[in-house]
Amino acid sequence: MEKITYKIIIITIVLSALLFSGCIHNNFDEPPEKEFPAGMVMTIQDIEQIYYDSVAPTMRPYKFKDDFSVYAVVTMDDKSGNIYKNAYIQDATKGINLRLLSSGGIYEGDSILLNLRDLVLSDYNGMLQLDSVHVDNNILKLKTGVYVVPEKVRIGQITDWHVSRLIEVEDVQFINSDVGNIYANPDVSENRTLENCNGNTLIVRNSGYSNFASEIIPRYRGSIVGVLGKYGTDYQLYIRSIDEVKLVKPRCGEVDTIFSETFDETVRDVPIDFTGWKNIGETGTIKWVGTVLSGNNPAAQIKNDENENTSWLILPKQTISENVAMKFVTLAYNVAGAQLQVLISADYNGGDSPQDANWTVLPATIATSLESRVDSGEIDLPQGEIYIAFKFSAATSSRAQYFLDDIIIYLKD
Amino acid sequence: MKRYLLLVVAFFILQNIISQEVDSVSTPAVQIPVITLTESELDGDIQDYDVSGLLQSSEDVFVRNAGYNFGQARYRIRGYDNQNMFVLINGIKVNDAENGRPYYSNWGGLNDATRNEVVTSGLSFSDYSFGGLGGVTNIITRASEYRKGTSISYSLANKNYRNRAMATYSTGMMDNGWAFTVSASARWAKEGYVKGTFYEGLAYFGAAEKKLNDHHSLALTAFGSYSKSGRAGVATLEAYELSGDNYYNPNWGYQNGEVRNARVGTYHQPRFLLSHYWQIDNTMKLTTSASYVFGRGGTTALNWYDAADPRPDYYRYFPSYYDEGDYMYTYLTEMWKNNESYRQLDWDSFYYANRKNLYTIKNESGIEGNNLTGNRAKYIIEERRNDLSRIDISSVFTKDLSDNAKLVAGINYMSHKTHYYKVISDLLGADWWLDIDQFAERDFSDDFIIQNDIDNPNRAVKEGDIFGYDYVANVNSGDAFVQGEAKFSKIDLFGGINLSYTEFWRKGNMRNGKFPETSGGNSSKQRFFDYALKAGVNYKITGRHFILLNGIYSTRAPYFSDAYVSPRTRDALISDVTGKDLVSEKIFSGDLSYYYRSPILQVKITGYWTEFRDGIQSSNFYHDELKTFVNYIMTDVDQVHYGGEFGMEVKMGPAFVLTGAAGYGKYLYNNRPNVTIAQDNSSEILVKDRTVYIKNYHIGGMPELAATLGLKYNAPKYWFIGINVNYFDQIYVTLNPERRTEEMVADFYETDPQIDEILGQEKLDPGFTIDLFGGKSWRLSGGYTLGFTLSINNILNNKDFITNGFEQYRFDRTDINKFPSKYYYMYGTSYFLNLYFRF
Repeated sequence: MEKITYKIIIITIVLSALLFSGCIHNNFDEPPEKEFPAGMVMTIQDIEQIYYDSVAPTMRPYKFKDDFSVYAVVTMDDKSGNIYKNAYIQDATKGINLRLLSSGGIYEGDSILLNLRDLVLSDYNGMLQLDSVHVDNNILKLKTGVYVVPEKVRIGQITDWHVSRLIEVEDVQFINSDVGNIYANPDVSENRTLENCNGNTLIVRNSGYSNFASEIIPRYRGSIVGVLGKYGTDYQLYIRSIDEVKLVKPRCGEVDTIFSETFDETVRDVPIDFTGWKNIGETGTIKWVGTVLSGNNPAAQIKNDENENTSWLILPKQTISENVAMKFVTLAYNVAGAQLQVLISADYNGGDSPQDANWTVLPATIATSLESRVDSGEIDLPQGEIYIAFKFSAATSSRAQYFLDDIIIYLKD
Repeated sequence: MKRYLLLVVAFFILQNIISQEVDSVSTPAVQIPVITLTESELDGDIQDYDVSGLLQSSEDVFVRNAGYNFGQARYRIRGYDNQNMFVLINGIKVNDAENGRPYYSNWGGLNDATRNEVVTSGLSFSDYSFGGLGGVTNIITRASEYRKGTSISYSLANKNYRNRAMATYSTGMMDNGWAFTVSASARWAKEGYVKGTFYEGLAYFGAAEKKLNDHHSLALTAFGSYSKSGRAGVATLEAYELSGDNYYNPNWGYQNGEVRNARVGTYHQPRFLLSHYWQIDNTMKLTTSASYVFGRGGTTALNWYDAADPRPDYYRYFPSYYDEGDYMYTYLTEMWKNNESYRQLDWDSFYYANRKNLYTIKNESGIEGNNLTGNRAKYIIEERRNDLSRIDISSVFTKDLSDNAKLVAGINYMSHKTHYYKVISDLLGADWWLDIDQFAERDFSDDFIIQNDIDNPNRAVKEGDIFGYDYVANVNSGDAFVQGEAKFSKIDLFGGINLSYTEFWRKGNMRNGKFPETSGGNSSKQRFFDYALKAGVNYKITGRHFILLNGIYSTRAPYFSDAYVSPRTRDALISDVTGKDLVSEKIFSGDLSYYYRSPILQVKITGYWTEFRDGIQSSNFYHDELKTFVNYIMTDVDQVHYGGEFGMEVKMGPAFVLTGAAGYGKYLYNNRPNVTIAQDNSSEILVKDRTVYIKNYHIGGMPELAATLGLKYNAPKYWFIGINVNYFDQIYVTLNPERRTEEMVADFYETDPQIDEILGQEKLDPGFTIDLFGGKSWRLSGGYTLGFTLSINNILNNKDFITNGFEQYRFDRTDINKFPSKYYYMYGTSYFLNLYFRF
């Protein structure tokens, strides 16, 4: 056995030696750190000057051959798909369009140092661009999360200074023919048009590859954030994200009513029984009934019957979106010891026991006399599926009366 | 069929009558092992398999020559995939449980230790197993069966490795009833035949056997083969032509001036075997073995995020992406031809980009407000791991019923798991990689859908971390067989039956945002019962003339690797998208041989016919028409393989032997399969029940005709020399079935030549090679033997012979050459010199 052991040991030693000589590919030296060449620093305004000096007169693109750099912030990347192999950057002086050799790699909020070497300055139908940007070679990222606050502007105020910069266009709506359409059909780029109440228009350019292309264009008015492009003499807006399309107001000159009730269909002293409504005497038996106010104006009325009363008038379920408010009108008589509240609930089940649900009182101005019709004031409604209720409560023998009229739920301006 | 067989026989008879040397053969048998690719010639994530070494010890004149001479051209005997050849070690089947293929690399470098093998070819009777369509090879590692003594060898070669050192020592059966064998080897190459490849391997083997008494012996074997190798790639003709190198390898590039390969396979799966040999009496024996194999497997690859494809052979980086005359065409031609760094990877640039790619992950790992800022990797090396753990138990009973009759029965059990996952292997200078699905990110704006791991969303992963996907393939199976053999004066008969049960399922360890409900946990189990029947007759016309007839019918459960649509992300079965049940494949095959044997001449002529029915072929690729990654699932695939084989040898005097072998067959698709195309990153089914018109197209990827003629001279003074001339023909490029659908030619006018271009199947040019081999040994005093053998393949250094090609699945029907086929060239002259010393 000793001889065997001896041989095994020799074999082991020989093989170990071979293993060490064989292990040649385990580690590679990392290449040395290479400094990003900054060269001379300039502004985007300076680049534009080069364009006017060198490109515009000759109509030939200008290629940077040396290390010049620009500090800038990325305002739009191509993640949403609305632009492709493209990005926009801006500094305090101007904005400019970057055309990338491959898509991605720089993101909105990146604070960058852009080396201009090998980039080509030209214009694409009137808009300046820096072409052939190789993200790996040309860009050093200095900081992330530097989100530029868009400059608020009305359509009529847009100038060339805004081109390739991030703006928020205020008080606009899509033209009637675009409303209800989608932003773009698959695989093509399409123009939609914004207008404001003064009749000024602005093109919105949307790609069929964008992740919001199939969303429906809303009919409302408000503000849109985007980067401004220019094609020929036309300005056009590039949307970054559908979340930045904030159109929630009624269209110019319109009141946008979501729900209204003027009680014109009521009959005097007959309990209100509209479809979807609830008219419930929780304590006592009295309910809201029809009545006629001065000027032959039908309304709803509730009147204490000398017993203790708690009664509910509940509107049909409402689906409330952004920027929605409510108003109504009340009159009152002999209301000492009585109260009318307007309440909202998200968990009421539509049944006969509203008292079991959670209700929140909405701030409203309620009349205390018959002297004049009292406007409730604009009551903001929260988003979601909700019920709105008028809750009357009165102590014994109060003989209180409330009149309710002209309930309206509407889109705020 | 009969008529065809006769034609085949006639074809060979009309050919030159040539013959070859053979060892003394006791009983003629039709033997059909399968030949596959040789080591390092494979591209992709799979392990090496090299079978030619095994076949060279076959008893069959055709098979042995095919194994030795045809492997270089990727010839496969009868066109069979090597999942049809069973490989056993001490009776334990070692074919992979998920795809059926034997991975020879698991014992690569242990040539001495695995030399004792019994090759049973084709459908003939085996003492160890029911066997597969392509035969059974049983490697025997009983310590007592090794030649006593020491063997030390050193080999010099120029293929995937350049050096091999090997030492083996065996005690033989000692007086105390013990026998030991140890063996070890190292193989290495700083650079293999192909630029950018390298190899390092270390293998070890130990076997101990104790003879307890005349009836019982116990044997323990442990072995393993560690290998790490840089892979060669495969490219288009354009790349070969422009680079001026028919072995152009896109996988490597310079890092800090050193050659680095991005595709490195590292495997180490040791196996432990315990065997019990019980000689019950003179007529009965029972051999029982248990085996445990486990270990790592994996291949690295580049991955990248929000960057241009860094692989130099991406189709847009070729001149052909542009029109001839375009300045880019001229420019890229110049770059490809004269700028090595352009046509290889640029590692330094990956580091440069990664080191300054500042990024902030919001809510990292799903923790609200946990914002992580650092250098996000744009380029990484990831390793796609497949770690194995498997237990086998096998018991085989043999009973000699009489001197001329034998019964063999056995049972086998297997429990197999492979753990599939990705790890970050090298961040290339970055701080971390963000684990999201970038292809989903392109298609969905939803932050949930893009997560690879929804339980750890937006996770920054570092070197060694598991990411991307993580699942386990489970396969359990059991089978039992009985077979008998009887020999009579004019006729020998055998027959057998095999029953088997297979179950498999997927277990997900990571919940994917695209498939949150179907990616985690255990899937339902798929169960299959299968059976096989086979029988054979040997009719002895005279003691020199034999007629042999064999047949088999079997069903084969679907393989795990074919059953799931996209196992990396979900447990959907292909039956879930096709709407048709998963069914076992049916295989039937028959062969008829004539064999002649005399002291100076041996001839064998065989005709065969094999059909495969209800097969499955699935793949993943980017579909240009549908503009998305797809799972392409072809079901009901029928194949037919038929043809003839011829083997011969003539002893011309005492020293010269003339050998010859030829195989010619047709390996065809035999019906119009159905295709279902599912979107990879959603459960959407894009195409259902599309008919693929591939009936009578060739399976392709190998020569259907191969022939060799050889002459060997055996000198009386312990030296020999030989030459072989080999010829390969009928090589068809492997198909992209999608090109053979009505939809793909729908828009063309019927006489448009583009239709033929899309539908046609390319046939490659034939090629021939000349190989030389020789050797000499010296017996020294004191019982020492010194010797060498040398083989030189392709001595004419023919570097223009394309042995194989495949159509890319990605294709553009409006420009068929946009994604051209890729090809493999046969290596030029290669050699293997082995020096050995034995005592």
